[in-house]
Amino acid sequence: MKVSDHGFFTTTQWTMVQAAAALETTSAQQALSSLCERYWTPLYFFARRHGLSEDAARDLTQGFFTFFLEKRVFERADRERGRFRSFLLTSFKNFMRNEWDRESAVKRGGSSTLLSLEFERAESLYRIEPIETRTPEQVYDEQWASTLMDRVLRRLADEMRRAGYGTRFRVLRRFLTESTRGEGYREAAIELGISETAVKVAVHRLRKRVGQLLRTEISDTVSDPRAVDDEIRCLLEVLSAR
Amino acid sequence: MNRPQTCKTCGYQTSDSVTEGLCLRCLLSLGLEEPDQEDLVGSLVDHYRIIGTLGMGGMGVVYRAEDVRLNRVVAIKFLTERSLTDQLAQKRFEREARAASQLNHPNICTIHDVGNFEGQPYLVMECIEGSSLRARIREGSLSSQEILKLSVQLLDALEAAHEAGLLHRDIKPSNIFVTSRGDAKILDFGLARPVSAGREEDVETWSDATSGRGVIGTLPYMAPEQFDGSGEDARTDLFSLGCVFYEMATGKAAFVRDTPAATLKSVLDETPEPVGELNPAMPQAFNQVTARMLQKRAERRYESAAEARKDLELQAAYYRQASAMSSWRGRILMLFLVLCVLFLGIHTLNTYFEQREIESVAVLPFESLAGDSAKEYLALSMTDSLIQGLSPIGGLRVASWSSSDLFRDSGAEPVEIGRSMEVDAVIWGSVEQRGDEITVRAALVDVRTGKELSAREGTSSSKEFGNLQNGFILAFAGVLRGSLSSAEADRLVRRTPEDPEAFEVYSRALYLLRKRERTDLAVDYLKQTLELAPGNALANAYLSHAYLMQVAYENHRPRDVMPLARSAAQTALNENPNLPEALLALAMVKLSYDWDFAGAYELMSQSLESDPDLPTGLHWFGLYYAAMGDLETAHAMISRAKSLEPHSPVVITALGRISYYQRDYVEAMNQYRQVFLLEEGFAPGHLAAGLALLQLRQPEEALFQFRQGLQLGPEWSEIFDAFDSGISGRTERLNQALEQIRLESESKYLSPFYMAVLHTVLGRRDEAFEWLDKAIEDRSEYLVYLEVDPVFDPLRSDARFESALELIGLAD
Repeated sequence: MKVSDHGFFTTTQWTMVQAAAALETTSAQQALSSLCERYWTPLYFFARRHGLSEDAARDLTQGFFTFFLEKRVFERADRERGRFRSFLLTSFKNFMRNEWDRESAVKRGGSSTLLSLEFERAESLYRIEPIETRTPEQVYDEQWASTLMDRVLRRLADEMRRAGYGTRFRVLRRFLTESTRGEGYREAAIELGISETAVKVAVHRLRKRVGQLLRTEISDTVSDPRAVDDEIRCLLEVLSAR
Repeated sequence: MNRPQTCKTCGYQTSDSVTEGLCLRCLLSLGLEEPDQEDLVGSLVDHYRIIGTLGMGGMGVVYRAEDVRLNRVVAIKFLTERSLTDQLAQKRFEREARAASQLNHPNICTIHDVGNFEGQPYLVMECIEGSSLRARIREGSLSSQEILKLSVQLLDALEAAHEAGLLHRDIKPSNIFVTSRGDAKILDFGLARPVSAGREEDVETWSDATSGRGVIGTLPYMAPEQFDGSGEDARTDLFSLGCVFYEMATGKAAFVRDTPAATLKSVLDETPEPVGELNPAMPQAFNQVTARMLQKRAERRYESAAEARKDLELQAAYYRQASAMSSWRGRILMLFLVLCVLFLGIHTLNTYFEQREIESVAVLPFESLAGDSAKEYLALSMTDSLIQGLSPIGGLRVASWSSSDLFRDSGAEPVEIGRSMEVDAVIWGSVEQRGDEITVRAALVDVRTGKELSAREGTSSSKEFGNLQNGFILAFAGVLRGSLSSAEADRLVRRTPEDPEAFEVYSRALYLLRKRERTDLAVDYLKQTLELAPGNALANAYLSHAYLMQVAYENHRPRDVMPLARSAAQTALNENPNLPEALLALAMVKLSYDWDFAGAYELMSQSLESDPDLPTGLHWFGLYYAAMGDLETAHAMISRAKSLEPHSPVVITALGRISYYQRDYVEAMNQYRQVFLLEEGFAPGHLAAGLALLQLRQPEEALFQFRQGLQLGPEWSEIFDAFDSGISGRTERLNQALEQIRLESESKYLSPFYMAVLHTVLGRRDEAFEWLDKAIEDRSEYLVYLEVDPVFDPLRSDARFESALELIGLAD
């Protein structure tokens, strides 16, 4: 991703996919595969929430991605309204409505190895989510947010480990959100052998870094990096509605 | 299987699968770039000083702030810069401002102001402590009694909104707050519209819904007519509120089903399982009221919130009485009440319950019509005696002297002032002296209705002025709480000195004591008072307070002064054994000088029993708990004192001290900053702030605060000099200052406790222990907080510290 200082020329992974689609470049194809691989779990949740069985939801999701990539559905995306999240869901709904039936899905998805999807893990996640009052769309959006955050936290943990701060991250991780802010800093300081102020500063930096990584992650899925805030707000509102 | 957890900050229910216990919503919020958000804390936005962040949502950020003009804490909601491009967000924001600002009701979150700061619109709202109703329902912690109380309040609030011509249209548990006092507050009028609005608004609502932003979540609380296009009116909000009642009582939403379609069908066609079957503890009448509010056809519901409230209030009153009367006598009275209902009819009782009890009153500064500034103390003492006289009334919060004094000379209307102070009623009036005759005129007005409840005039000779004051206390107490028994009346009447000269010096002494200033002069005044009015219990109690303050704030040797404090308090108690001020003074002597913690507890409890709402009582009892290491209770006690006396620098400083003991130095500084806004140069606040800043590793700032605080008198100059040079590393100067202290210690007293603090801060462990020993020998005031005071953390691992705790009686 490249973001200019003045915002005159900005690209995201998603816009790169859109722009390069016509040229059939390998990098565009890879970018798209990467995006799909990242965000298939929310679709699986959506299908499950729609009442599909585990097997049917798996087949449907696998089938959709095969179809999505082979039929170059992404070329139909409206660049001006470009949230990958919305586009993916709309495409999936269309796929369900117009093109999918169980037999053909099995046929298409059964032989495909385009994407490696960990359905078992997704299913175990699905079973522990509190879903009783949510619509499939909400489940999809929440899982999207959760997937984003999972990636962000993994990246942050990797960064910290590489920098030799693995233990620090393990101890301070729980202070990332407001509800634990300030409580237990003293114990953490003792455990890490640093001052309480150093804990406070480290937590502040971790929180900022989470924010930066999240924005980077989201900017891959929107057509304009300036829309990152809108996307975050939109996800926050979806979560508020619960 | 992981259990869902509810985030303490935003109420979001998250499972700990991916984020492992961290709130997904709060984590997402970290991604919102709000560079100004942190910067705003501490800065001045128009006349609001931002003192902290309360929360952040998709649309905006809410800060805790101090209104420096009115000296009150408020919440400020900013629409984020990026939301400005979001037309829907902006529209909701404007609508909320417009709608809620039309309303003034204790159960609706008050909008105080709207503004624009560097292009960002903001709303100024009352700052509410507590939690959302949604969270309370999820906790399952609401009792039947609380549910009834909240329900009546919510209906009352809706009634006010409807009378003002507004429909809320988004009533749901997450839009209702339960304050820490257990009262309901309706929030978020972002979807409100006039009762008479046409269908265009409905189209807009649907566009909100279809955009997936905001209304989706309210589907289970929407009334059938909102879907079939038959129009909305007050009964629509009543349906939503009925859903809330149902959820409060049963813990489950009335119409939520697995899918939106099923939920919609349920709203339109299904009757929820009766409340009584799910929660047999709820009274039948509540269940009937709820069932009627949940009728599918609007014409079968109550016509108005007022009608539903009246039905429900009867139940709430029944519960109040039932819990108060569990004895045989109570049961007989209860039977009588039930018979009243039967014989007098519901209508009569409805009229009675409409007159809701006044729970808070402010006594505004009386106006002096004497035209002679030397006589202003008469007006001051009239104000003062009413505040003190009414405060022991159970269930009545009397806004403090410091709060109402802020409005002196403001020129605002009394009712307006009362609303600003968030009280139910105000008392104000004038005092006029002609020759030896003093005339007092005073009125009591219900702020909520603007109705005058009582207006009185009385005249006496200057010698009888004390009695005249007592007459006003009893008269207003009677209006506020019905007739008083002679024992109750006796409890309310404070025996202030009757002799006018005695009264004048007494009033001056109290003024100084409240400011924590010139306690030596206050002692002189009180001694003069006692010469003119020998044996006066209040004067003796306050004399004891004055001595206590000399030790706490003015560096007097405890051994010289504490016996005097004890003696004065005991004299007061001989005169009036239940006088809370005297009980407290003796308790403080026992706590900080005798180290008789059990004795202190007993006296403080007695004082609290005698006057549960005396702010000093709560404040000092809080200090007792702090000394005992129970900082949570200490915080709760002093917070309660602050809620009663929100503008008292003394109480806020004490709250800051508790945060400091809790190692929450940032919060401590937030409190101290409030103090400085209220009273620049409040020395105890500056000293406390200096210590907090040392913990925050901000020595320069700490020194500045010490400098401010120690301008009190020359007795502090050497120790300050030592702090200054020690912290800034000027060893030679430090040694000179310490030598000077040693030389001067023979001629003037300097608390060894402060010397112990100084040496601890400078890392001079042995010297610190030497001074600590001397402090123990002298029984220095602050030693009882040794166990919790973070300044001594570097000494804790030393066996000598444990010995010190043992000597004071604080060791485990």
